[in-house]
Amino acid sequence: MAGTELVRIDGLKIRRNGFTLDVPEWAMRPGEVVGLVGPNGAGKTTLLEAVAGLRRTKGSEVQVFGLNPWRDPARVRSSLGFMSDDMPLLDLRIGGLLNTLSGYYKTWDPALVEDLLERFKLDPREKVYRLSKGQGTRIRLITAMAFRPKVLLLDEPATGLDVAGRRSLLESVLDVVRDPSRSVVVSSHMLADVERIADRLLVLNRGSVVKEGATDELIGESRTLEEALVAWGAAG
Amino acid sequence: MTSNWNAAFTHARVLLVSLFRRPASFVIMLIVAGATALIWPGLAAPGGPWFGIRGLGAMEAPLLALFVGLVYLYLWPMVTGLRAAGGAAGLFSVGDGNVALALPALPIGPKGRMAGEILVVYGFVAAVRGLTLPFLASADRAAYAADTLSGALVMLPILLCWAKATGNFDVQSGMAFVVILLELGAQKAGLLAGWWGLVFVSLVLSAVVLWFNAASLRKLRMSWREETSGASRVRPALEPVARYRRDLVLMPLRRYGFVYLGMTCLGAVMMLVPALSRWMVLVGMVLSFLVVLVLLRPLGSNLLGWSLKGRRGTQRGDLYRALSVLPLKRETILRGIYAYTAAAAAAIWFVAVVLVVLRLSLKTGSPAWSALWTGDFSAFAWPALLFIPCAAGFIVATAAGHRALYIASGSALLAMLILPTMVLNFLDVIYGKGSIVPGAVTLVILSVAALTASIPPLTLLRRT
Repeated sequence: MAGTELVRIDGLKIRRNGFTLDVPEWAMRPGEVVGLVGPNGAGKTTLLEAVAGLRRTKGSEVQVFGLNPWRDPARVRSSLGFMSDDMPLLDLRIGGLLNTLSGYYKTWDPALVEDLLERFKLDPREKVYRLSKGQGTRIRLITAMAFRPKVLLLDEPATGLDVAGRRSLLESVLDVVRDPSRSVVVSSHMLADVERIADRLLVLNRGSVVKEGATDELIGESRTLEEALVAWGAAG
Repeated sequence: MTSNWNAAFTHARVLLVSLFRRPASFVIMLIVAGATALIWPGLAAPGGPWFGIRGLGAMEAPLLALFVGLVYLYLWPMVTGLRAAGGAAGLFSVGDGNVALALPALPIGPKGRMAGEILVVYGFVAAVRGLTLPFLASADRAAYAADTLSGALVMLPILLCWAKATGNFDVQSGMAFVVILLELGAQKAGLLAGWWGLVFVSLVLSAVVLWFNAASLRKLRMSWREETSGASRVRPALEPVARYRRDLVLMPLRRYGFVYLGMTCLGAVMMLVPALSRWMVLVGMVLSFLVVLVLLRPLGSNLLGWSLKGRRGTQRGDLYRALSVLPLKRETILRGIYAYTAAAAAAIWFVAVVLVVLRLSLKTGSPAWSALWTGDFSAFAWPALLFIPCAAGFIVATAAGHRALYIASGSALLAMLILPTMVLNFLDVIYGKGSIVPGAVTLVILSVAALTASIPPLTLLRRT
């Protein structure tokens, strides 16, 4: 089983400014959409950054494609897309930005980029610094998805998006996992969206794992994800 | 080369036919070409009138002569250059880049096109001045012909500024202004007094303008492609580290090459033209500030964070954060930033030293490279080298958002700027001018500050 896992966490502990993220064990297999939920300060972003290799981890606490993402970020991030709502972008035109980034990935897919630009209604001539918050979120999504990563980590991908934008986002995420070799982790406070697309959930609260498992099994049929979070004491 | 000249003659023929079909344009070209019989630059001695403009030599007010000369040198190439090219492309397409963007579709490259436009303008000048030749006394004819040629050499780089290949009015007018100032500087330096100097200045400036035009056109094509089908363009995927290094070298040059060269030219003019030297310090400071601002945005994003906003709330630069999600190691990104900053600081140091040496050379009339080893200047030039690793250390610490390191290196950098002068003056008063103590103490302070600013940030470049 371990051989097919895209991401594996074993005894991850990250301490910072009095906060401790403690994830004893967690794994993600190809074809899964994992919803990462929990209140503010639960450790969702810290966990995603550790998986993306943006945060130092010891030894084999975190493995992506069997590699330590902090020590081998080049190989890991060639196949891992990370998107965060406050991630800065190179201050170019959208077309120039995408063109610049394309030189870093062998798997960059220009057809997919064109499709996503159309889907997200973005003009390649627009300058990045002039984009609204929602448009900024959309272009960040495109940069994370354009090279068809095997693992896609989305940290608050719906920030600033209107209804149409969120719908496009969900469609795009589902498109990604149509390829059974790829997986997505979505961290979001838009619980209805997460509930709609996530096969599995990882619920965090104050740095600890509260629940982990298949979405349907965890929530049950008679309640929503929001109600379940309240019941688990992970609603903030 | 042959194909370029063939293209130039073909293009010139097309432009001429177009001008003949537009009587108004044709008449304007005849009038401005006729004006050269009255006002035309040429060989000029350093202390003589501004470019020896015929008819202006008699002017008693030198400032008026200077003004008329400047205006003429600015307007004549603009009118003729734009009118000649406008015959085929429409005069008012200047600035929207239509002409330059249409170039790839034509069987004439930008070099051939520029040469064609120059041929048309000089064709009119030669025709009009040739027609007036029989009316001159035979003794004056040789001087008149030489005058025509020398004027053409002076005008050549300015005319090239208005070649339509650039297609951007702001760039063209700015370039023309800088070229005129450089020619004024060359005249004051005595380079336009003889034929060799004139040919040298004309060719060097023309080469610089041609490079500018080519770079401008490349940029225009890039932005055009960006605008039309930017998203579908893909760069060849290199190894990420190789791609990053290449981007750090080439992208700033492509994006800001104009600014760097323009600032250097302006700085050179201010330094080398004695009449302007009183503004040197002020302009130098402004230019340095602008250059530093531009240098701090190598890939279009700030190396340094300018605000405390954002979730992470540090001064960590956007550039580092924007790059951190790429398949690059943290230390690779930081090493690139360090190397880039060090190279930029070294370039600023080099340009400043060359300009000062040139200025001293012009003052003394002979190469003043010895000033680098002896005299007051050497006491500034070599210690200034210490700022290169210090600036690189400070920038890399700040770009990485390492608070302790950037506070330490920033404070040390400030101390380097302020303390030596203060300490030197203070100890001079105590120990007297002849003592070696003030110099030694200052050197120690400078060294400690330099080490504090430059060494600790190197820890960020280690392999993690």
